[in-house]
Amino acid sequence: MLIRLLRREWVRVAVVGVVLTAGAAACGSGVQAPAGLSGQQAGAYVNSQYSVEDRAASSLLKPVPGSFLAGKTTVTLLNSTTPANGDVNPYAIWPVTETIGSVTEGDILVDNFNNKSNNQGTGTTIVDVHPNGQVGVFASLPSTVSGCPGGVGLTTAMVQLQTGWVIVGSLPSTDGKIGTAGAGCLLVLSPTGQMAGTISGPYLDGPWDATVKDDGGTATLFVTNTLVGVNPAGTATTNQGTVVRLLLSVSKTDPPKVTAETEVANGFPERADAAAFVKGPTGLALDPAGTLYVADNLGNQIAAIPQALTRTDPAGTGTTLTHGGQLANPLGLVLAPNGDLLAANATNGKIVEITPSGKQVGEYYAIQDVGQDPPGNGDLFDLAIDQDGTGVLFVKDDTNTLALVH
Amino acid sequence: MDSNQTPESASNESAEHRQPGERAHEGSTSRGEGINRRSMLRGGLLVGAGAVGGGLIGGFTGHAIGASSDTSGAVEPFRGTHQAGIVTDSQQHTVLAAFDLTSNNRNDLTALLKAWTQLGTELVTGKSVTVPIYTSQDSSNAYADATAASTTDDSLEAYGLGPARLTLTVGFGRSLFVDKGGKDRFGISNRLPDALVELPHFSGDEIDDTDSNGDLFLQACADNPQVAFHAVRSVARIAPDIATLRWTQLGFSPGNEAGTPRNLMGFKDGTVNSNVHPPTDLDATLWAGSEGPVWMRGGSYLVYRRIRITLEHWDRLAPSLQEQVIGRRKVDGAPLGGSEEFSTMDFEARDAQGNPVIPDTAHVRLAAAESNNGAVIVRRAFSYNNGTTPFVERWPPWRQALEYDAGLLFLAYQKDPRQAFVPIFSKLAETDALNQFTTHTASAVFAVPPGHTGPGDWIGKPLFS
Repeated sequence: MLIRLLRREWVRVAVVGVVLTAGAAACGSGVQAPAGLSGQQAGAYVNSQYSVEDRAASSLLKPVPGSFLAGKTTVTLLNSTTPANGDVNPYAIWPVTETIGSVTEGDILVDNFNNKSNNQGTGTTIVDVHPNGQVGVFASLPSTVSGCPGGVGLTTAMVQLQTGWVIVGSLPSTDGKIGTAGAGCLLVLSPTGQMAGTISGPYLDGPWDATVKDDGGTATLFVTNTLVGVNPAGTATTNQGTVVRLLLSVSKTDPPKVTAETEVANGFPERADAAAFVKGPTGLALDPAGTLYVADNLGNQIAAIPQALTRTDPAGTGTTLTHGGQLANPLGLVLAPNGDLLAANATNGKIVEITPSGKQVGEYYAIQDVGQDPPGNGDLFDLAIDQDGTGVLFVKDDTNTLALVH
Repeated sequence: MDSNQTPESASNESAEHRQPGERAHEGSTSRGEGINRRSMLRGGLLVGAGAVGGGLIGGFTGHAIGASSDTSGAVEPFRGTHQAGIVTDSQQHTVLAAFDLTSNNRNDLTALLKAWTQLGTELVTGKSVTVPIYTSQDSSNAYADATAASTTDDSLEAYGLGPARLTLTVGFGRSLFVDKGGKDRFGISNRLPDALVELPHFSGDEIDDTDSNGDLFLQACADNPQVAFHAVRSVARIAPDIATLRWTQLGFSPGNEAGTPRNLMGFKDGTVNSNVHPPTDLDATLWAGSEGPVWMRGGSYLVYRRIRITLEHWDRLAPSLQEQVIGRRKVDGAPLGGSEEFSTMDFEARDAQGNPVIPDTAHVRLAAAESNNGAVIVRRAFSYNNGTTPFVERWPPWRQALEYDAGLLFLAYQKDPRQAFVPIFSKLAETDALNQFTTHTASAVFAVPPGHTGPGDWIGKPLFS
């Protein structure tokens, strides 16, 4: 089912601190408005939990001509990402480019972080959204897997190798709270979605996002760890988030194996969060020159890690590509065909375009759902460029759907 | 009532000493007299049962009916071509109940339905009546041998409250026809209507099976909550070892007197295609006809969904934005862009910026017949409030809190769910802006057979003919 939506979705008024008079609610009806409708809605950005930067990011940045986002005005809702078992909260997006195993070129794999209990860190399914809009289940995993500490709760760390193997992160909990979170692992699935192994060790603690450079017989996988040293009982920030590089040996017949692991970045801020489960370094994107970009959620910046493919020591948090501006706690990160980065804002549902020189050149307000406060808050996560290279795929966690802006 | 007066149906026997199927003795105590204490203790006599219309049916114990001292509230007829409680003007209260049968004996089922029909006929009058207790040797209830059969006495909690427009509506679940393994239970599997479907899983469903489905269904609606509950309680007492309660659910509504009633979201609910404002051609939309089995003609199919509404979340949304979600104005119920509640919904209308006046994902747009190839359901909506329970919201920020377990009892009657509820809700479940505030937590489909037409007839009789 393909449903075309207009640029502005069901809420066409992103209200912030607007006085909503009774007359507005009963306009034109000739009906006397109840006195109780003379209320005022709480405005998110005046609330103390929103930072100065959050407020700044609520301003409008129209895409400059020639930017990737310029001219993209249409959102196509591809389908629900909720399979029959009731899993919700879609995270990772992987556009399939080759037909192999049980996936077909043009499919889009999406995993779920929650099971039907709605508790975060409990989702076990990867759905397959076909080009005709039909949705199947690529993988349905058990809630506990030997070799995956804490169980299964699928994160936005998901890649598929050319050989068809799928590697997906798990940051599990039993009750949706960080207090029961386990270190998790990377789950290795066969090209038909069957469990084929796990990758875990001291270098993985809350694998949250991933990106890969796939060379066929070997692959270089980067993973953000967002649980390192996080105090489950507290709200204090700790600067221990890391990015690890895993060198994989790959064949068509045997599951990929880690042959080397290197911490390439560390010191990113992290903390437990009741709403977001955990916050820390998230999205990763690797440019052709080997610079790895990291969406530093709590730092509200995009960090650049130089020589990420070859370095032998951590770069700390690297250098800052861009900070603040339209960014509002970035999560998903993807490299656009024009070489710009696209970052998904956690706090306000915007996608922000950034040039390799660090200039913010446009935004698309992808999710303006006022069911969250401020509108779109918490609704975006992973981003991906579609197979045509012209649109941006994004998950809508507010409605558990996959959408494309083009 | 007069404190010295005893309702006729309270002067009845205990069934504890009677053998299954044994006819009770009829007594002859006059109305208004006190209970004969010695008779009660002996337990072998039915006192007063025959005095006012009390009769025996099948293997039932005594049965009496007497005038109520209060007949306030109109009587809704129980008999008719169609069952009452479908297009009947909404009452203010409902008690829904589903039963599972522990017996697979066809005679038990037919005896039960006869008793339900007879007791229902009497209960809607508002009079005090005894309960015909039915026993069966086929019961597999573990407690059957250890618990005495019930007294036939009226429990009396509705005595003097009048008819209160009580309606009782009976439905058959798919599991009445075939068990989970597809095995015929009562020799009626070949009469299972195609329209009595198992609903597919819809996106976002969080269905609690223990509050869903069932072999038999009873919808009691009345303007007095105690009358509605009394009716279900009385019917359930007929054969508690055979028809065991599977689930019950209470609901309430402001009623239709002040126009389309409001639901807990504060919006008018049922402006279109409800029993308040039904579609014009009920034969085309509501009543089963020649397209299905003969025994269902004049009946209807009920889809029941208990929809939990996260009122805490809804209350954080300004009314003007709530209106965008629903597609109607909150105060007068007018569709956005319309002038009054019954204005035609203009789905083509655009505002000055070119945006649709009724948003693309507004509930009324997606639920409208125009958006669903003309598919129509007839709703009979009640609100419910089951208190508060721990809940994890199904949308960011995934709030975990003690929240109201309250919302809507969605009772949708239709000619064929495959042509109505299923396609309509398949679309709503995917894209309705309302989904962020609602979670379906219970579900059932029942075949609601035609009404019974008078003496000798009983609800469901054509199914067994």
